[in-house]
Amino acid sequence: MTEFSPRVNEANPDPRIACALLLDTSSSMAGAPIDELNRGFQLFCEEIKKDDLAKKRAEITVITFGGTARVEIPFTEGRDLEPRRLTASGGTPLGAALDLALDQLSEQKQAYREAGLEYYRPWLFVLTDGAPTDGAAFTAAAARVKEVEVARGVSVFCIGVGPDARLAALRSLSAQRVPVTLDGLSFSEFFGWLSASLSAASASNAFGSSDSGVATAESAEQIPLPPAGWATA
Amino acid sequence: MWKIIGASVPGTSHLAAGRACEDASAWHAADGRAFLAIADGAGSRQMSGHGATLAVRQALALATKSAAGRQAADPASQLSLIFRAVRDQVMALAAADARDAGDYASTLAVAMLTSAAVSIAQIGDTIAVVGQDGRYETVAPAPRGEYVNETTFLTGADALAEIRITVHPAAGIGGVFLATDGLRFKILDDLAVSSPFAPFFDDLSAYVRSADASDGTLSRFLAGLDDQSGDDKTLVAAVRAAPVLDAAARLPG
Repeated sequence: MTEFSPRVNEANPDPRIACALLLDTSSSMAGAPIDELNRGFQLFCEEIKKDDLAKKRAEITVITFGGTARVEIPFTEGRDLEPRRLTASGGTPLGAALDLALDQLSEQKQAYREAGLEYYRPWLFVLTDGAPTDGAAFTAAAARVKEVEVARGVSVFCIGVGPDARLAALRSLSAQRVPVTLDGLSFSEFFGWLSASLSAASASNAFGSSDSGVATAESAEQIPLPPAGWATA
Repeated sequence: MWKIIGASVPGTSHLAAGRACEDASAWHAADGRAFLAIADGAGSRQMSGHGATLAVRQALALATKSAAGRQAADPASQLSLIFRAVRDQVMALAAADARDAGDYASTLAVAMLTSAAVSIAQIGDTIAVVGQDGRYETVAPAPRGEYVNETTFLTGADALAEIRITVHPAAGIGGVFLATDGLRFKILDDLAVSSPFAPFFDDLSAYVRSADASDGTLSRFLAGLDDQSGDDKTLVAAVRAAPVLDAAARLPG
């Protein structure tokens, strides 16, 4: 029996799952919260590299909102993701951060399409311990987030941190997923879960070459996310 | 003469989800002609594996019958009629089962290889490649991109208007290859324009020509391939047997 082991293309890029992490770095996060957040993100950078698929399929951007909204880490493949020390100061311009995130996600998808890359539905995570301080901008941005969600252009996950997190504001960001509250300061547990979730998503077939293609692929296959042990009931 | 091997295997994500292979393939060669058919059942639809199997069986039967009939009929019209008839049969099956036709959704590619022409018709994101000796061409790749209709299926409302039919003179073509999109990462060179990865098709052509080429070995290769897609995989390859040299020309002067 002749073996058949033809040369195949090993160089075609894998499909991408873009993940935007919107992290509250306002002054109220100072002290233990920002320390735990930093510790959790550092752990995430280690964990994501351990998964063969997730480290090349997941691309993560970190956007902070403390005083101003800014891109702390531009989209980076999991295998190249390095922690960066975040500090807490200023107000909570969540609206500006959401606008920035949607712009980044939209540009990233456009870049994927131009490069012939396929992609999963992007993920957008919001972690905040307070209430947005950019009222009108937040209201407009929240409507924009919902619009993109309805068009199946993004999956939105909102997480309140501590007793002062305005869950009502977070609720206005998604019609599909209710916000949850982080159990104490269990950022490490959250980031461990996020890494495992990106692994599960990366191993799934729920990707396509356009938003509608992704939606079709998703209808054939649910991404099994692990239980969120870091959230309070 | 055409030599043909082929196989359809379930994808890793389908196996993990406990789903059967929703790809189907069939082929037939006789009297110097050959007919190939592949289909990829829509992953999100309940009966799509049945739809794919019915589509390739009916397409093959009709193509064989059509070629045996009037020689004058042009292949593009024949393929168009075959797709219409296959679609009608899938719709009839759905109606008989009191189901939505979309439950049987599949892509479909059919190749008719005669002494005159290599004719290929496709609906959806099937991959059809023709060529030989390092020179290959992807025939009428499915359009891609945000504003283009995503994969179209045989059962779709506008399916018959979206068939992509190409007819090449047979003379220059040494190999004809049909594949489902589960193989795209491995057998295409540039996903953005669907160009073929020539080394694969060179190796495949050589293998098909070899004396002990078998469907079983091809099937094992497909099952073991780390394909990046997790999707079902189908490949049917038809290659002209090594040209017979003119014995007289080899006689010493």
